[in-house]
Amino acid sequence: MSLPDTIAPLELATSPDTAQAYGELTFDFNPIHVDPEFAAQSIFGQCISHGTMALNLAIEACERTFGADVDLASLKIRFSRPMPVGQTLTAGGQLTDPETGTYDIWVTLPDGTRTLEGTITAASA
Amino acid sequence: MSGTDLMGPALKDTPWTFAEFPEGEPMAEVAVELNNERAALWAGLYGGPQAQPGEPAPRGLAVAAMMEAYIRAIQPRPPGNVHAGQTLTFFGKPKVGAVLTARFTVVKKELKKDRRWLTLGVEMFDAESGGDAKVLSGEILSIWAA
Repeated sequence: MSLPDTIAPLELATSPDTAQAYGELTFDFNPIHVDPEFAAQSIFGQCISHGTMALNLAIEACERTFGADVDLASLKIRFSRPMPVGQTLTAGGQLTDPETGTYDIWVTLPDGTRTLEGTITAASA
Repeated sequence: MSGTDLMGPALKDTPWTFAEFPEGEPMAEVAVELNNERAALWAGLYGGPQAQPGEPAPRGLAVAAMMEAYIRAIQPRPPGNVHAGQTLTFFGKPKVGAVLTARFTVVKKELKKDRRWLTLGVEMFDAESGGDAKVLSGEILSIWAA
């Protein structure tokens, strides 16, 4: 199995519209994501993006990088920082163990803060 | 989006509290269709060509369906829950149009530093393959608010 060294970066510019669309996609209309007045009173002070919006950005980045020959087999991640709605998210990754097909993966904010981090494993499709 | 609730008792009149989750027990089962509307929403968010009915769906579309199932399976919820972590193992790749059934089990409850850590196990199956074709399995780690 030939594995790429890196997961090609993939961006998503978040906005109230993307928060609403992701809410429709997942049935998750938690006001912390879509209600600015509610979110302003929360510990975050503003709307934050759905965590799995970032997770799915990372998954999509892996799938596009791997193409048809390599498959995403498993993942283990943690949501390490909130993602204010309006920020651009960038997913990426680095191969760390070719023997097991393990990559470190992450999603960052424009200032480099990692909002999601963890590992994935790849396998032959 | 819509789906069919297949198992109780995860729907109740008042928000689910941490104390009420039955540790070690199955909790809910919900079906979600990977329909064309969902595929269009996915393509609108993440770009790329939209997968058409009968074509393999992006892995993330099944994860999004899992999240819908998770949200719908346990209602109502207290405000302020935090999704803290996620593990997933992927198996078969479902097609657009497939009906996926998600089963949730309460794996673990832990109180640490006044935080209520709840681990729910999830298994998702493709009902069009007789209901026994596993699509994914994993654990959802949350900090439950109440």
